[in-house]
Amino acid sequence: MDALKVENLSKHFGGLKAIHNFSMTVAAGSIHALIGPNGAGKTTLVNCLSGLFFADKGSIRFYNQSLESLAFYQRARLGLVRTFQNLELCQHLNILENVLLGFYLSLENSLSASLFFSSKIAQQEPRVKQEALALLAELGIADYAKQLVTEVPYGVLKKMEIARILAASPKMLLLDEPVAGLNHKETDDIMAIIENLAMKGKAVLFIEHDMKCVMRLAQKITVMNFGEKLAEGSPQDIRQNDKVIAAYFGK
Amino acid sequence: MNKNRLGLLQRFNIKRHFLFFAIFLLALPVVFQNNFHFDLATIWLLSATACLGLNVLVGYAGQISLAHGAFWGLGGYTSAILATRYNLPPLLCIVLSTFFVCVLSYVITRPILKLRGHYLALATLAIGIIIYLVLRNESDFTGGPDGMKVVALSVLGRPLKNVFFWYYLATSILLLCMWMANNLLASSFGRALMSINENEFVSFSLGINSETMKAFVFQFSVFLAAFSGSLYAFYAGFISPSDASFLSSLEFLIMAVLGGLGSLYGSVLGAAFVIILPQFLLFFNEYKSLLLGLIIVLVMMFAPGGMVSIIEILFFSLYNKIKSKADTGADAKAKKKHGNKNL
Repeated sequence: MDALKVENLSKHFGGLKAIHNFSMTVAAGSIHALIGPNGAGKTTLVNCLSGLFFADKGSIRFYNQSLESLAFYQRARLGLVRTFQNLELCQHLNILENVLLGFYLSLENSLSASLFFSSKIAQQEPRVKQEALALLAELGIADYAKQLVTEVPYGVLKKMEIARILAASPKMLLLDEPVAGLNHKETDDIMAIIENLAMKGKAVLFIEHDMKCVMRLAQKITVMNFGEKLAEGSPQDIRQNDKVIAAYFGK
Repeated sequence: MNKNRLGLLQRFNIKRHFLFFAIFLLALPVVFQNNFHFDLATIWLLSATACLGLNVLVGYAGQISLAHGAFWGLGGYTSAILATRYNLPPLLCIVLSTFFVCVLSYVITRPILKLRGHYLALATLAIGIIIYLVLRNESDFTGGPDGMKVVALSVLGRPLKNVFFWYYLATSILLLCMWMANNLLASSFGRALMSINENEFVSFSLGINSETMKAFVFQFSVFLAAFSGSLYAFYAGFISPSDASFLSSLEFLIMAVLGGLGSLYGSVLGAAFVIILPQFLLFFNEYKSLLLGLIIVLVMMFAPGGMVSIIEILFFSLYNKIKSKADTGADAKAKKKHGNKNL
């Protein structure tokens, strides 16, 4: 079954064709990598998929539901969540609170219940805190729970960002450069996390420049260049594809 | 510093000190010597209630409003008109006027809440000025620039003018509203609200509909402003367009910022500052405003977190001192024990 099906997607910024007639599918429970040289349109594609941008043309179907007209937050509610290339953080909240934000959709949020501290609200807070701590422990950053995001290492923040979207119990994750700027140990950790996610049946589409990581993780790779699809296939195919080699290293 | 270890939510959670604060307010009349003190305190508490809503809006959700004075004044006027011109029972007037102002503000602010930052400030400023102009110019209803008299608040035909009654009414309303605001901010709703202020990308990416959220919290703050404004009209027995003017809106914003944005106690402190401090400066006659301005500038320069941050810093340095003393004491004891064991 296809988790995500993109057909003839186009996004132009003035004369620049950031994405042009792009099609791809991501199978449910698979790890799919999106690679390409700088400026190929990878992040624009993720922005269009997640709803940060609206595509000019083409269709996006997520588990057979059409997404084009849905806003960013509505797509997140359907279970399509993303991380950002540059960390997007709530600076004045600590790590635990940042992750608690992720549970928003599964909690009681009505204004009246919140104002009068209804029994439902009273019960959900300790429960959700436990869940968030468990999630942090699973990713190995439970020790940092009480620290502000400005005080912890970059690698922890990267993991925290994944914990935050996992808290939203997504069906599919769009990860924009999940291991960029991390050391070997942290990279291995994040790769293990992503593998684990796929085993749990979640689809993952990730952008990455670290080829070791891409080749080890991805079951399928799509290569983009100048907003169009250059090649697609298994890591083996991509490694030997002449067009891809030309795009990366020049002829 | 110790407080840096806490996230925003815990740092401003008022629960720990709330009981002390409530007792303080309840016991405060002990020091009042005359009706003027009661009068000042009642106006302070009512303003603090309105400011509380504004602080939630500006300090937590990050949405600025320069129209809250107008909503406060409009609440007062609506109550006054209903009670004085239509002879409705005052309690009903308060309910109706609060409801009316909330509905009106929802209709006019829903479209402009899409704006951000300075643009939102400008749009709310315009709304506030429109409300002010309408109140000033519709003299048939509002009495024009001279304002209008308001009948006294009465329950079952008995007018209530007792200073104690008003003081404790205002106190209980403020405490109730603080409790509600604290609940709101400590819940998942409050967290989502802060994420909108901090980073709207995060809230979007987690499925938080920031527009509805902003509308909700704007309504909450308008509700508090209109409600306390209605009460104020009945309390003062007189209302004039200057209560709904831009200056009045600005005063509420000064209360919130000066007291400490993102702190519920800050609103109370800020309101005390703006309402009560000028009375101490009366001695300086025409230099009063100058001095007030100077104090505001100084506070903002040296404590951008507002007056509550000054208290926080004092409190924490004291706390750390006591703690370090206790620690060294405990260390010495431990050493002694350890030494004894060795012997």
